[in-house]
Amino acid sequence: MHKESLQQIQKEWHGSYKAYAIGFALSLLLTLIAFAIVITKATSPQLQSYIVVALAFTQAIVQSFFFLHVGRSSYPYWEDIAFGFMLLVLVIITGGSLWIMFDLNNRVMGTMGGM
Amino acid sequence: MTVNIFGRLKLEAFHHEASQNFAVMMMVLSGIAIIGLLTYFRLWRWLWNDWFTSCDPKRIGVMYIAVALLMFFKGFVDALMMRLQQALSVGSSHGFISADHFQEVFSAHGTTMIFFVAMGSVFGVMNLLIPLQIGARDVAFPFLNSVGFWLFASSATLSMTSLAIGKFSATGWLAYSPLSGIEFSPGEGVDYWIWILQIAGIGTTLSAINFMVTILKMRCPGMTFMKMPIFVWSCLCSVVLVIFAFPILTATLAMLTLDRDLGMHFFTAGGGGNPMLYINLIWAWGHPEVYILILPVFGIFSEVVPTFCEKRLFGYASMVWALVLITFLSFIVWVHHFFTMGASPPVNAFFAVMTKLIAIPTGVKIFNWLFTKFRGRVHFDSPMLWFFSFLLNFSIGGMTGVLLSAPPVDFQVHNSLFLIAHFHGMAIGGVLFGFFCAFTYWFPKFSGFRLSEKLNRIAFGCWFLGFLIAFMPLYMLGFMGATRRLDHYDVETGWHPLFLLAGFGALIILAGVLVQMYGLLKAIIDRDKNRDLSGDPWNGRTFEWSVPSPPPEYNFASIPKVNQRDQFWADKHLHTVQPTRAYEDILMPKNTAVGVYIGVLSLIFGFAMVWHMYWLAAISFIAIIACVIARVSGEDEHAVIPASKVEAMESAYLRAKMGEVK
Amino acid sequence: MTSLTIYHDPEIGSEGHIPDPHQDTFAKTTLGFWLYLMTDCVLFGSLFITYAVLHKSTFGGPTSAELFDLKTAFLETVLLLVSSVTCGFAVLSSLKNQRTQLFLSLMATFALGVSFLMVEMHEFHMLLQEGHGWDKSAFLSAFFTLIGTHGLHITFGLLWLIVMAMQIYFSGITVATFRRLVLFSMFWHFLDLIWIFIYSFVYLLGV
Repeated sequence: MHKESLQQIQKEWHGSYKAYAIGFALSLLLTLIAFAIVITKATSPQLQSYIVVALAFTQAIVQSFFFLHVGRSSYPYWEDIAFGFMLLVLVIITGGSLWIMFDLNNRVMGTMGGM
Repeated sequence: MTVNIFGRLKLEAFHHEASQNFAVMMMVLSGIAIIGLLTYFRLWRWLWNDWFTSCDPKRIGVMYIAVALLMFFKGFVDALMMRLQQALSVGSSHGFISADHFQEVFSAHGTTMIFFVAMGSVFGVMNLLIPLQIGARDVAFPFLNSVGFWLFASSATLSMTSLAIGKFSATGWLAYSPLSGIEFSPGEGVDYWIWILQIAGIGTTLSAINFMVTILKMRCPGMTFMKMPIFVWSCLCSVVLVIFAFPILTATLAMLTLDRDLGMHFFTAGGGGNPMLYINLIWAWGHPEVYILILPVFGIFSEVVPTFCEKRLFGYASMVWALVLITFLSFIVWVHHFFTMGASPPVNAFFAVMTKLIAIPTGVKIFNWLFTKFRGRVHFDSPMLWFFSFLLNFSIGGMTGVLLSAPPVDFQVHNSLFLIAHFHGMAIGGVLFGFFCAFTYWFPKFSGFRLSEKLNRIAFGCWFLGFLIAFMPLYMLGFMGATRRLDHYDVETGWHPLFLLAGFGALIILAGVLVQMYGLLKAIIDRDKNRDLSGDPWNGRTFEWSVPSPPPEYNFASIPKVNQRDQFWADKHLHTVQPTRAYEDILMPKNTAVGVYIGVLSLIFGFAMVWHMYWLAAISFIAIIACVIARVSGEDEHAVIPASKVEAMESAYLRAKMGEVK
Repeated sequence: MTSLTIYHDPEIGSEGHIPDPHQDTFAKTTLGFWLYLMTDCVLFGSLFITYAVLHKSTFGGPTSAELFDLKTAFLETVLLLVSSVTCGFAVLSSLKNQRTQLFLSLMATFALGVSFLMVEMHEFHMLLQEGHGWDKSAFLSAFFTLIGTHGLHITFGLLWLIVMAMQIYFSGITVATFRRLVLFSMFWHFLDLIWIFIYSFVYLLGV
């Protein structure tokens, strides 16, 4: 009852060949589109940036779900909660730092100067 | 190009000013004395087997506290030197320390106190209490626990080495760029500072992961989150902060290192570097850091106050929410450390408001402790006295913090002694007094004997009075325009009397420290007269009081079962009992020397990096990796404590307990 | 990932049997390692923030548009992505105790990882040769450090892979070696995840 057997652990593992196949296909597709958009300069630079960023986050979600099994931990979901909190912290320090540094740059360099 | 085997280490590194030479001599002599005593009493084997190679968190916790106390001594001497210098160095007199040396002293003081005294005592207390309070036998990763401690000890040793070999950093406890860059600080000082923090930081992060998994996964049956002791909650929040904030420090220190050693331009004044980025990143870590230190202290008081009021904690749920809210908010206030750096009003205003918000949950906690006392039976034992001192001094410091959180006010007093008085109110009034409270409260549990209550009170009195006299004048000096880190000032400022008063306060604190040291020694000498046989000298409420003093290696013969908060209190007073089970064999982790080896090797690595002995750095780094590989390739590292031995130990405890209770 | 917490069965006393030290170790260790990966995310986050702030600080020197070659970046991306999949296959093979497939997958992962590193080192070499060293501007410092940190992680991963493969070779697929394989796969997938942001924000947005 209290011996943790190899079979027990193996049975509860979430991975499957199907998941990896889907994850790989989607990732490759998203990568190809991103590179293609940039190389062919198909859209305006502004839109290009948005698309590349959107594709990056999409692929990150794909790989997180299909490869890293984010969202699939079992009760009480600590791994998912930790992942969510990490994202929150990253949003705060990234958003905060960029806001602060660009603001400082504007004040120190004047709005004419580049960085 | 020849490569010097000693890097940039030269004989000049061993030459110091007179006062530093004295310090080094004292350090070396005390080291020799300790080694001599250990050899004379043949204690090396005991030290190695029972302490250094132990993976028992109770042992590791005591070692953390021992190192923290040793480093406190160093940090406090730094403080006395600064007080003395500032009391003497007026007008034509320039005190007894050179300006350059003074820079090193205040840098060492801050670094030592935060990274060794505060972090060491907090992690020490966590090691001692968390497994016991959650009804577990150990932490999740005992070996990692040992590694974490030895990285901490190695960092402390590197810091002591910086006293003797070369100079320490002269750039303050946070080493702002561009002053800390290679152009303005080409020497070894900042490199010492970098590697001290980097090594300690990695140890801290590993320990935090350890405690997080322990709390999440090893609580005893029935102990849901809302039945956990508040101390455990506070530690959970603290380690969350460590895990998500310390990597910022690791990255920033690494970038500073790359600037210095490889000529990069992250934070340099030229080359496109941005010194303000350093300050932004370092405080994005630095603010969570101070909450890492204070949250466990809040938890300590949440244990002590109910015990000495014989009444359960008021507002358990609101205490938990306050902790969670503080944890979250501590990530969005960091700009208040550099309001004056030049950000625009919207930026400053946002962070000012967030900072003011964080005072609210803190206030909730204070009121909850006060409401716990209402209609309770208050006992004024020394742990409670420390709580009252915290209440006064931390509240004053906290209120000045709310003052400082208004940018218009901060623009007047930023980096003045007003700021210094504020954060010492937090650090001493909060963290240190909290640690002293924990020390006097839990000392009988982990040593098996009591401290002298009389000496505790005398020491408390000295600290209480001394702190007020040493730091209240600093608030006034701040308003009068005195900035921090001054090694000399003019008579016309009128500051001298206040500096003298502050110096006098420091001497009273010194008296308190001496009484504490004497008290500890006396308690050890008189230990047989003051044995705690019951395991529960204060009539406590949590599981650590349900086991012998000191607890056996395995903590609990049978893992307890929890139905409500303060289960042990309920068992005692409502006469419920833990289910009886037959004694079983208990598996505990074996001792291992690998943690010690990794510590020693990281000390060598740090020293080698400081002095640019890259060949030695490479070898020690590879050796560390080899140790890790050897460890994971080794055999299963457990030893069995047979049921018969468990039974014998438990019976002895019960007999002693019965004997004490007439 | 299981999070069952198994405690001593109260009915079993000491009949001379030794309780299992591996109680729940799999769940504890995977959670602990996951938390370490979260710290690594924040570490990389700090480096990304730095790159975002400094990427235009070229100090008069060349910009990212002038220096970056998208073909190289694409090659690196594909190599790492495929290695992430072969790594997943290694774990799946171990679930069915298929040793040969397991070792083939591990070798493929290793080969792809080494190829990735070689392409990256070539890229660095070219930059350094042309005089675009990390000491020339804040932009270059940030670039080399961000990519280099990722590359260092890959290097450690490859070393881990070798040691672990040897352990599996000699000890077979046990609770311990399976656990380490799972941890390795988490690490390797994580590195590919970080790379998504590198090729997107550094290379694609940089040209």
